[in-house]
Amino acid sequence: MARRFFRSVMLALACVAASLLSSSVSAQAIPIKLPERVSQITVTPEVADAGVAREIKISGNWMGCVPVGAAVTPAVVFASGTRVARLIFPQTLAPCAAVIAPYTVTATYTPAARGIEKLLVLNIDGEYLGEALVDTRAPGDHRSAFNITGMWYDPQSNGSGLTFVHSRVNDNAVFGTWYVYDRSGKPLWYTIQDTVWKSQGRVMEGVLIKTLGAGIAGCPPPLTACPSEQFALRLVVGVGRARVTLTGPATALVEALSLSGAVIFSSNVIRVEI
Amino acid sequence: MVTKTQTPYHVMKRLFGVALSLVATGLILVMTALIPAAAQSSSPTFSVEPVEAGPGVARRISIGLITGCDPTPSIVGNEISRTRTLTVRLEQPNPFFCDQLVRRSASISFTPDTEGELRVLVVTDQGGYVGEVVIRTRAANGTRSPYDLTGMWYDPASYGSGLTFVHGFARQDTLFGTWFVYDAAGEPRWYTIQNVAWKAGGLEAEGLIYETSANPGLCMPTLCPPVAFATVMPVARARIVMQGVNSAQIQAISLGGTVLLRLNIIRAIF
Repeated sequence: MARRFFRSVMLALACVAASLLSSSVSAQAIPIKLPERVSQITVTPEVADAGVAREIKISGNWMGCVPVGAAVTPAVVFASGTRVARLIFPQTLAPCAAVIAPYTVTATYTPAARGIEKLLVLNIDGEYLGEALVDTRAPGDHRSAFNITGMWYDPQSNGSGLTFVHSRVNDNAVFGTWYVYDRSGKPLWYTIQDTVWKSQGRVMEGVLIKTLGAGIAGCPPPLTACPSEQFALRLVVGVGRARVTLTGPATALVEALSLSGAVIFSSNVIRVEI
Repeated sequence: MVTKTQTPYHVMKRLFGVALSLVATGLILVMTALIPAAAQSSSPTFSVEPVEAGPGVARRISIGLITGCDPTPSIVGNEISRTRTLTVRLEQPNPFFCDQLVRRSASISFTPDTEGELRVLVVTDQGGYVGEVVIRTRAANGTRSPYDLTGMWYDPASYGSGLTFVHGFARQDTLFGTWFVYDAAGEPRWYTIQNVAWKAGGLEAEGLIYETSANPGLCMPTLCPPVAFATVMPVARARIVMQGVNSAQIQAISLGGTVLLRLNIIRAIF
C-alpha cells in the first residue's frame, strides 16, 4: 500500500512537472515515440549444478526513475519451470528527470533443482521486458543448451550459410546443411549428421558429408540442377567433421575439421531472425 | 512332521489379513488415480475466445485458477510492449476477506489490431508467474500461413534431395527456403527460395528460386570454406501448395510460366 501511495504521488508530481515543462517550452506539440523497453539479461555462470548461486544481470534504458535493483520472486506452486525477476524502483518523493537513462541491476538466484528454467524480467507493474534461461544441470549432462533450429551465417561470408533442424525435445539430434561454393564458384552443399553434444550442451560435433547424385541429364532448363531420383544416390563421402561451439542462443563458432581432427577453417556465425 | 490345526481363530486371522491387504491395495490404486488428477486440477487453465479471428475483433482471455478470492485482471505495459507481449496482471484482494479455495475464473478483453501471434503472460500482482497463452489473429481472407514450415522437407520419390525452410511464422510470416539438388555430373548444388508471398487463405505461396555463385576459390583439399557470394539471379519461380501441416506440393515454374518440376514433399520428423 505504501509503495502504491508513493508511486501515485510520484506519478502526480511527474505529471505536474511535465505539464509545466510542456507549457513553458513550446506551444507546438512534438510527438514523442516511447522507447521499446527491452532488457538485456545475462546469467553467470550460464550452466551450473543445483545449489550454485547465479548472478542475473539486467540492463537496458529507462525513462524517469531508473531501476535500482531486481529480485527473483518465489515460484507459484503450480507453475514450475518459469520464474520472474522484477525490477525494483526507488521509492522517493523527489521527481526523477524525464530523460532516458541506462541502468544495470543484478539479482541472485540459486536454483534448488536441475532443469532449464525460464526467467522472465518484468517491471513492477508486470510489463514484460525480456527473458533468459537458467540452465541447471549435473556436470556430466551434455544435452544441448539451446535449440539451434534455423538459418545461420557469417556476416563475413554473406552468401554462404548453414541451416539446422534440431529435435531438441526428442532425441536431441541435429541435421545440418552447410551451403558453400566449389573451386569454380558453383554452389555446393554438405550435410552435418550423426551429431553428438559435448561440454554441457555447448559443443556439437558431427560428420561432414558430401553426397553425390547419380548424374541427372534431364534437368529442365533453365535449372541446371534438380532432385535426384530415389536410390540413384551414387556416393556419400565423409569429407571431414564439423564442430559447432555455441557462444549464446544466437551466436556460434563453426569449424570444419579434417578426419584427423585438425581445424581446416572456421566461421563465426549468427542466427538469422526472419 | 508336525501338522498345524486350523482353528476358527486361525481362519479368521488369515481372512482378516487377506481383507486388509485387499483394502490397502485398493487404497493405493485409488490414491494413484487421484493424485495426478488432483495435481492436474490445481493447474491454471487459459482460453481465448474466439480462438482465431481477424484484426479488430475483441478477444476474451479467460483464466481459471484455484484461489480464495476472485482475481481482478488488468492489462499492463505501454502500447509498444503490448504489440510484442501482452501481460495480464491478476490483482488479488487481501486474503483476510477471501473465501475457501475453489476454482475461480477471471476474464478480460483485448482487441489485436495486427495479424500474427501475440504471447499473453499471466502474472500475479506479487510477480508470480501463472502461465501463458497465445492469441492467434488471422483474417478470414488473410495471407498468413496457418502452418509453421520450419524444418526439413523431401519427396520420398527423390530421397537424397530436399528442402529446408526457415519460417518467421510468429513474426512477419517470412519464408526462406534452400533446395538441395544435383547437377548433370551428380555434384550437389543448391538454390534458395526467397521473396515468398502467401496468397489469400494462407495455403499457397509463391516465391523466386535464386541461383547464387561465388568467385573461383580454394578448397582445402576436399572441403570448401564459406565465402561471400558474387552473383545472385532468379532462375525460376517456386509455388508451394500446402496440403496439411506436414505435406505440400512444390512446383518449379519457369519465369515464362511453364511448370518445370512438381514434387510432393513431406516434412522429415526425427
